[in-house]
Formats: sequence, structure tokens, C-alpha cells
Amino acid sequence: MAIPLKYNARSMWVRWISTIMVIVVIAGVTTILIFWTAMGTGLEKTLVGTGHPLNLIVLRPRQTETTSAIDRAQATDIAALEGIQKDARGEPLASFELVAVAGHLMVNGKKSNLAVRGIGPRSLELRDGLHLTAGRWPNPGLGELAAGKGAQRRFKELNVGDRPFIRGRQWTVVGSFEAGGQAYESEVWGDIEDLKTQFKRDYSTVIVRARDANSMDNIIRLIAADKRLQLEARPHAEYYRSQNQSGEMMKGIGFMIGIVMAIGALFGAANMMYAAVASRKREIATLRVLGFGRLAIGFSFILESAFVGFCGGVLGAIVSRIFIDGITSGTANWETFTDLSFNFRVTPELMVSGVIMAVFVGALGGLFPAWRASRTTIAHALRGL
Amino acid sequence: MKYLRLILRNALRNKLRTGLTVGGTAFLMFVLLFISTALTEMEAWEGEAAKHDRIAIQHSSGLANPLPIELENFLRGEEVSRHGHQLQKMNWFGGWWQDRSNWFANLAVDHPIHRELWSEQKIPDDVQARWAEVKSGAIVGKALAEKFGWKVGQRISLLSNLYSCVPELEIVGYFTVPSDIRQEQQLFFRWDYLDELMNGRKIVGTYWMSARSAADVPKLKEIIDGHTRNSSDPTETVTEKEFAAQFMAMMGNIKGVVFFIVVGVMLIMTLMTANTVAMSARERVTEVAVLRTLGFTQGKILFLILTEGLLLSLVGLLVPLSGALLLFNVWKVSPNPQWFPYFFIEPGTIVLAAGVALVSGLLAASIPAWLSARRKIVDGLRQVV
Repeated sequence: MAIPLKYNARSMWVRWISTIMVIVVIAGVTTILIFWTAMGTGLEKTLVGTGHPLNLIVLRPRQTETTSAIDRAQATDIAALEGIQKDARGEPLASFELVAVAGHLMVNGKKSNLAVRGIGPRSLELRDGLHLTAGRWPNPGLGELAAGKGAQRRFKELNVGDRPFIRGRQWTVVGSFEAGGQAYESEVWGDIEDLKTQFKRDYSTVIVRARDANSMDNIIRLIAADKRLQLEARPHAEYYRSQNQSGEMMKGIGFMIGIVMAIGALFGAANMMYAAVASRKREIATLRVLGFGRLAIGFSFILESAFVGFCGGVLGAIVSRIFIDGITSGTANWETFTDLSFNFRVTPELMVSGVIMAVFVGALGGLFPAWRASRTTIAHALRGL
Repeated sequence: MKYLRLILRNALRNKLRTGLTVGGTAFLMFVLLFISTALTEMEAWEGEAAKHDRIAIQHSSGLANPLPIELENFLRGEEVSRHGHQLQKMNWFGGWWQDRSNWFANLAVDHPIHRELWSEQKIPDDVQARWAEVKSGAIVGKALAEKFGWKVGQRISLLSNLYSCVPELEIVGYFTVPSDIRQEQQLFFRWDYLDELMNGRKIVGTYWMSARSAADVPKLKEIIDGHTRNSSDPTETVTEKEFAAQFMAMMGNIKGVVFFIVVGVMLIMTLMTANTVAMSARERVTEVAVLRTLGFTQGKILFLILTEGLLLSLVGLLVPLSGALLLFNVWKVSPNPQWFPYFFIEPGTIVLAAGVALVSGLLAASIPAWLSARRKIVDGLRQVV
């Protein structure tokens, strides 16, 4: 027969100071764990969510948009390949682009690398989820820029109307855009020819939209086979996913920290439960006399401890959701050395996993004390006074 | 001191409780040491760099933009030579060996001046001589060579995501850096060899030189940056420390993250210790009253309980500290060898940890100590525990 939960609730209430302390300890550990994971998740979402599933990015083997170089003849050859989607007028959906890196002052007064993308007439068509929040897209030949929301948050002088000095000339910011959290939000976009002139560079990539999954494979094969090109095509989404090194490292370290801290909190929970068992020896004996079995008593204590863990977990998850979710930050994308802005994301799944971890900490912490409680002999305990 | 026995007996009265508390705080303290060390490791280069009067000349738009070769003549000219010497071209190659996970620092440099400019790197005479003979020669830090099992005379090729060429290097010898073993995780090969592979395009990443004295550094900045200000490739001349610091700035707000974790861990530790001290103080109400009757002053009681709290947190510091020192400093274990070749706990980190232990121990014991000391003797004696 199970012991009524009311017994546990009242017991916890009797030693409320100790209970609350352990709840706060577990809440703290949960919050720190969620903090790290939210950072990793936020970073991951900017990179992993970027790129249309049928898009291919063509660049030099191993290189990134910031370092690759493709000349006009090569780019034209690529756009003419079989399998690329055509628009109503029969023109291929291909965009020649350049991503350059410019050192620029950040809002915090330090300098970091801003990604500047040169776009052509097809750039917008090849990407989903982009829309202007103010102003307009840049026109060719006038040194105009549109700035992503993330770049504006991190860098100075990127608001509409500003005239930042980048790579040897003054530009005019004529628009600002959102990209639904994609990596593009950390970039500023200008006309491709303006950028090529100013940065003295060729195109760095060609982005194409394949007709379907089969033609996608086909284009990859065609480009790999063409020895004159010395280029490779990669699925656009995969290209971004592979850059998620910092996110992976943060998640890895967060996981390690989480485990070590959880063990620490487990000790705290065990401490509380041992004290609870010690002070309730007589009660436990009484329960035994009343006919409750050892198992029921052990289970009751584990349940009590797990509930404390649960409360801590919920508190930690709520605190994280309120204070950590949405914090904006940024770090370097170590593949391209450009600044990547991201938001901490405390997702419901993350909150649930935090609570699950906390319940585990509580239950495990209560395991040995519960065992001790269940082993209490009646005579011994009743004599205990 | 004469009370040490009493304090020890009190602390060890409930060995399980004391053990769980110390164990719990020990795990949390380990996390604190871990996080702070991650920060000091990232900043290690800055500390080393500050010792030298070297300057770097980089493109004002950031490291991704190459500098013109024509600048070399100016930098060797009379005006600059008065304040600085030992000019060297240096390109970050960013390569890896065999697999991307074998990523390490490899740079192409002007080899004749290398030994004088980077005087902390100890290069034997015969190695330097051989390097001058072999165009594809590379010198490797001893620790790096041991890590990859490279032998002198071995040929290795490097792949990079910055350069499309593939240097095939012959290891001509090792160098050591007695002052900081971290600096041994590097490979240097000849700039003229890289340039040959790049078809003589004369791409220069950065120029480095030694200022003749610390006072010459600002003059060099003024002369060099002034000279290039109105060219198409303006430069930014920085000290070695500033050069190192810009990478930390790119990482983002690491210090904020570390601060958040340190404060969080400290609060959690305080609560855990407070719980224990409160429990043991509650059991000792009668005893304290007896001690007071025997003539112990309130101050003495306060002192006894505070010291007990301190003792707990001190042991909770020493256990993880010795464990971490053994693990990271002696056995040289790294949580992520690619990001952190070494993970040395620095003296500053130990001071920080000791401070946190001190504060959390005192804070934790203060309320129970204060309550115990203030309780009236009669109340204490009357209470049945």
C-alpha cells in the first residue's frame, strides 16, 4: 500500500527552510545548464536553419564564401549547366555573389569582422524568408547597402541613413532586413559590382537552384568532373551546417559542465534527505507499525526527493525562460572569421530536459537516504528517543 | 588555534553530512575552476604577447584583406628603420594535416629574420641553417611534433580553407619555447615557398617588426598608418598584445559568460554549505548554551561556527583544486585538444577560487553563527532537541 502524498507534502513543509534551499540549489544548477545549452542552440539555429533545400553553393574546394574566387567565365559556365531551374523567360536561377570581410567597429567599441555580401538580381529569389523592415534594397553603382538585423545590433553605423566608411569608401545604408534568424541577418548586402571594385575581388561563389533532388546530385557530379573548373558544389544547407563548430563546442562543454554540476546538486539533495530521514525515524517506525511496507516507505522518500528536484527544475526553467531567452549575443564564425549574431534560445524542449535532469538529481539524491529509511527496524527506531 | 580540535570535532560529528557537503561543493568548485581556466587559456597569448615590443601591421579592414607587397620597401626604408627593425612578412595559412580535426597553427614567414624577431622560440643553429637550404622546409614546435608523431625529414602536406594551394613541407627541425609551452603548438614554413605555390602573386597577410624600444611603438604606428592612410589599402599598426586581443573580441562576451557562471556557482555553493551549517547549529543549541555558561563569549561562539563554515568550504576547495591540478597541469589532459592544446590552471584562477570559497564559507555560516551567538542562555538550555 502506498503512503499518502499528503504525508510528504506536510513533511516538506515542516522543514521548509532546508527544502527551499535545496530547491534553489537545483534551480541554480538547472539555470546554468540551460544557459549553456541555450547559447549552443541559438548559435546552431542561425547556421543550421540557413539555405534552401534545393540550393547548391559552388566554390573552391574546402574554401568558404569569404576566401573562394571564381571568375566570370567560370561562373557563366556553371549557370549554363543542365538541371538548374529556369524562370518564366528561360533564364537559369543562378546568382553570382561575393562575400568580403571588413573590419568594423562594434557597438561595444571593439573591432570585429563584418561580412559584406555582394548581391545580384537573383540573390533574393534564391533565398526564402528575407524581407525588408525599413527602406529598400541597394541599387547598383551607387555604393548603397542594406544591413541585416543582427549586424545592426552588433555593429555601429549600420542604421538606415548612416554613411559608414568601409574598405576605402563611404557607403549609404538604404535599408534593413530580416531573414527569420538565418545567418544572413549578420551580414550587410550591397551591389556585387560595387563590392568587386572596392574589395578588388572576383566573385566568390555561384548559388544555383536545382530543379529537383536528382538534378542536384547531377550538378554536383558535373562540377566535380570538370577538371578545368577546380570547383565543388555543395548543398547550401549543408555548407552552413558544417560551420557550426562553435555551437558544437558550446554544447559539448555545456553538457560536461551540466553533468558535473548535477552531481554536485545531487550531493545537496542527498544531504537534505538524510537529515529528513534522521529526524523522522520515529515516524518511519510508526508507519511500519501501521502496516506500510519497506518498499512503500523507500518509494515515498524517493518521491519526496524527486518532487523537490521537480520544483527546482521548474523554477530554474521559468527563470531561464524569463531572463535568458532572447539575450542577443555574437561570436566569430571560425570558418569565415566573420561575426555571427545570435539569440539565446530557451525552447520548450530545453525547459523540459532541464526539468527532467532536475527530477533525476532529486530522485538519485534521495535513493540512498530512502534505502536507509526503508531499512529502519521498528524496535530500533521506536527505542531511539 | 587552541579551538581547532573543538571545531574539527564539531565539523566531523556527522561525517556523512560533512562528506556530502564537501563533495557537493567540490563538484561545483571544479566547474568554477574549469570555466575560469577556459577563459585564461583563451587569454594566454595576450599575456605572453605583452612581454615583447613587437608590432603587427595589418589591413585596416581586417586580417582577411591582404596587404600590398610594395609596403615592404617603405617598411625597410630609413624613416621606419629608425624606430623598428627585423621586418618579417607573415601569412596565416590556416591549414590542417590529413584531417580537419588535425587543425593547428601554421604560418608562412620570412625565414632569415624569424629567429631574431621571435627570440623566445629557441631554434638550434643547424635547424636554422637547414631551413635556409630547403625551400619547402618547415620548423615545428617540439610539443606539436610529439602530438602528431612527426620526425625530422618527414614530408607533410597541408590543406587549407584560405589558400587553394597544397604545400608539401619537409620538416627540417624542431624549436622549443621554454617560457611558454603553448607557443610550441605552431609550424612555420617559408613565405617564399608559399609565394611560389601561389604563382608569385605576392600576397602578404601581415608585416611584423620589432620596435627599437617601447617608446618607438607609438611613433611607428603614426609613421606607418600615416603613410598608408590615403592609399587603397590603409593599414592598422598594433602591438602584439592588441593583435592577440582582437581575437578575444571576436569570440564575443566570454568574460560576461564566465562571470555569470562564477557568480551562479558561488551562490549555489553558499546555499549548500549554509544548509549544513544551519542543520548542525540547530542540533547544538543546548551545547552552545552550556559553552556560554562556562564563560565562552558571544564573539567566541560566532568565531567557532564561522570557522567551521570556512573549514568546510576550504576542504571543498582543496579537493577539486588538487584534482584539477593533477588532471590538467600534471597529466596535461585537455577537454578539447583542438581548441585548447593545454588547459593549465593559472595562479590567478586559484586566487579567484580561494576567494569564492572564503566568501561562500563565511556567508553560509554567518546567519546560523549569528543566531547561535545571540540566543539567550536560558532559551538555549530550555530547548529540547
